[in-house]
Amino acid sequence: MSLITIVYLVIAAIVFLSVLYNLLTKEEKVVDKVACAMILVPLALRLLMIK
Amino acid sequence: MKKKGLVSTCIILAVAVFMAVYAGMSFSKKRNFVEDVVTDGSAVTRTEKLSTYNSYLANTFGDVDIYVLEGQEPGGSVLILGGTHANEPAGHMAAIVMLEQFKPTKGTVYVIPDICKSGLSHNDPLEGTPQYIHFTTADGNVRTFHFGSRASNPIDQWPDPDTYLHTSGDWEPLHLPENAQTTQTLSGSEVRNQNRCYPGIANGTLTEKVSYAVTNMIKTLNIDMIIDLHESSPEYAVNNAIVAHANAMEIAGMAKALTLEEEKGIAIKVEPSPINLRGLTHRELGDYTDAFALLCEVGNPSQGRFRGYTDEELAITGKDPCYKVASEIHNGALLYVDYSSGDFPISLRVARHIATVAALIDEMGYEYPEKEIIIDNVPDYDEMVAADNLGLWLR
Amino acid sequence: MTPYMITFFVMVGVFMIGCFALKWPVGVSMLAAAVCGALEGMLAHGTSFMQTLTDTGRMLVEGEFGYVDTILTIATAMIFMKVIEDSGALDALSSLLIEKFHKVPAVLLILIMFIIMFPGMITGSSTAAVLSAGSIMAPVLMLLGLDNVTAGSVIAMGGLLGMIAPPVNTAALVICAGIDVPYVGFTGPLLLLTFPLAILFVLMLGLPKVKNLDYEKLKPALEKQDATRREYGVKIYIPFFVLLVLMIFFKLIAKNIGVDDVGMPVIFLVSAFIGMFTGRKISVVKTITDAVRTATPVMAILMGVGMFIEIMTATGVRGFIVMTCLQIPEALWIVACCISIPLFGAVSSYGSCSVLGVPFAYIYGTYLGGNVVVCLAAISLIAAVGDMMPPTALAGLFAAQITNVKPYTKILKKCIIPIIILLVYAGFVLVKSKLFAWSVFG
Repeated sequence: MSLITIVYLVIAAIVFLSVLYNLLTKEEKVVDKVACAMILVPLALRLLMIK
Repeated sequence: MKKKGLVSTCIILAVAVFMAVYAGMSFSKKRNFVEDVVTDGSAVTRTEKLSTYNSYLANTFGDVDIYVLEGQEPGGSVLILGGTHANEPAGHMAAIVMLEQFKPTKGTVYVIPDICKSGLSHNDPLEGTPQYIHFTTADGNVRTFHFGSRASNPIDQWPDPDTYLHTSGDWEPLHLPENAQTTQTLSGSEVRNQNRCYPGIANGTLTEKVSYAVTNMIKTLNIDMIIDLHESSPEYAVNNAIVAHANAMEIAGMAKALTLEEEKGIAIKVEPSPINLRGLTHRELGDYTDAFALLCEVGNPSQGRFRGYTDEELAITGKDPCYKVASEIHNGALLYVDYSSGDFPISLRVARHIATVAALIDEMGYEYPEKEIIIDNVPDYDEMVAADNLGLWLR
Repeated sequence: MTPYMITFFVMVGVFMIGCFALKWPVGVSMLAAAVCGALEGMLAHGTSFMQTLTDTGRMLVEGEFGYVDTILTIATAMIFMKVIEDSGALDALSSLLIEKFHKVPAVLLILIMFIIMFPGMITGSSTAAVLSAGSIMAPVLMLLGLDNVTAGSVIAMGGLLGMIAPPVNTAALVICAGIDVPYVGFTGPLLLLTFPLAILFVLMLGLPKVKNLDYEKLKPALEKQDATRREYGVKIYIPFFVLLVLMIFFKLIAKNIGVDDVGMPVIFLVSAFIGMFTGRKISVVKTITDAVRTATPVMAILMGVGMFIEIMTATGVRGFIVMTCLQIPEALWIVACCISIPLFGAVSSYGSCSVLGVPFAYIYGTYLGGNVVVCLAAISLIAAVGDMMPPTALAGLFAAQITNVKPYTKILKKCIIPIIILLVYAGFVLVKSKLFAWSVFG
């Protein structure tokens, strides 16, 4: 795995954790939580290098 | 967090986890699915790994098998590539049929049916394509093959740059035309397009490593001809055609006129390889090696921009109501294939490829007797078209 | 094609119900539309219920990957924006520019427009332009006297034109890839298409508001900004220099010396990281999470768009849309081009380039015998308008976000005349491409 890929995985992890944090602690409306979940799914699969 | 909020959060997270796990399993299954290429009963004398020609490819996902079909009598050699663009199933399947059916008696045939294995291991987002295609063989077995992506899998090389500057790496050109530029700026995602990475870079991206290995293989083994099998959308101008490097134009022209059109009644065009379109097999392998570099295209509705419902049936039958409409409006000027029958089955597309490959090999042997390759058991074009069942030519 | 038409109406109908009746966020409405379209389209096609469920599940997630790289750029750009805002760097720069150029407001406006365009010119992304230079110039524009809607409109149009201006035009690259034309000779036509419009639009929108700028009257409003500038000195501008230097190096120089481009997300994060130490003290975790929360609605839109396009393509709706456009009589092709490409661009401007831009490129460049390079350049400009089309309207949405305009449709309304001028100009160049063949060089 190249260095730049690792850097981007770190960036993806930062965004993933931030969205998860907001979903768990800040978002109140259901639709806003769904929006967060939509972002978490592909980021999780990319972090695990499945897709 | 309030109780109501906690419940909704838990439900939403649970659904998200479920979707991620479900989709992840599907993607992972495809990634690890190995097609069973049947060599029992075939003329395959040995296989070797592509990393033989680029050590940087060893232990990577791109290190594929090279199937070698060696005739008893020495003669010329040809390399057939399938699966360069994994969303072009006829290229991949034609190469598989050839390696399972061809029986060379003179010369050597090298076949790599899955040259872009990374591309076969995933699907393009936003294209809605099936993951697999299936064929039933003559003895009733169902064989499963990949339907993949035009480009390598991002999990093999990520991220894409904004733009991709194609270069020829450390290769020295042998037949570079005058005024040809040797670098080209392409869209960033083209860095994962196998057919934009030739002649390749030894320790570049995975796609560039594979391209390097192919170029090195051709030079090391002094392969006489390389044929790259593709498909193109019916609205693409270069269709049902042979694209030939300048050094292969005569062979292509004679094969078209004498064998394909006159003998077999197969209408086909011959297009010269554009000198400033870099990275493609017919361009770079002709400029950087001594091989006759050719690329074959047939029309494929399942990759077109006009297509309707996209599924395995479309990939196999080519039947599409949108293309039927396209063939009828504006005097048919929008399409570059004859779609009057309303379909373009894969058996026809594979048959065209096999007939074209056979004609090109024959013509090379006629013009250069020292490069003659004689192959028995070449599937008959008319039989394949009439049967309309590709499974009958799979072991 | 009737089944595809039905699926089209189901998807559009569900989307509109979600967006306008239920007031759901655009991204969630697109998710709902994709799910309903998949179920209806696949079941109507005769697919079994289980197969429909399994395919739909996979495709919804697969479609999201069409934009997974883009959301990283958006998130990191927002982080950079939040950092320069919280650190005071934005305040300091606004104060400096106005002090130096207030005597020549027309020149200042044009300079600001080029600054806004610059990130788009080297990345090919209107989003990058709006979020980086646009966010930096927004307070300057507003301090000059532009109301937030006008400022947002200037930024949005600048982002649009920047993404098409040379040297990098991703829309043209996508179409070039689709018809195997090398991306060579585009500089001249793209300059011709973008820079005159850029100057026209910024003066059209902004000059009436700033031509009587009275700097002495403005000075009291700049007290806070001036104080920030005095307190931190030159070092507060360092994040901007770092961003500029990194963009120029990686987008223009690096490839020529064999260095790989690190990409905008890294450039934004490095600049943001430096910005954390050059101005006011800021909380890293709060800044990052707040920035990502601001970006979430747009990221969700892109995820929804990905799902929508995936299902649209799988069920045949995409083919239906393309064929409907192409069945229009030849005499109306230019109208079809100038309407359908931006409308499809409402879903995705790059998607529009691939789906509709390529067929129209064939039509004008090959079938009608126009100059291919000029035709592609003109079509790419038409496609850029998609970034202003609701519901995604990325350029408009981000411009509204950074100028605090709610709803963002106010910016779209303000930009209608510039957009019409742009489409008429681009349409003319497309139809008369041979007249502009002289501009193709290189």
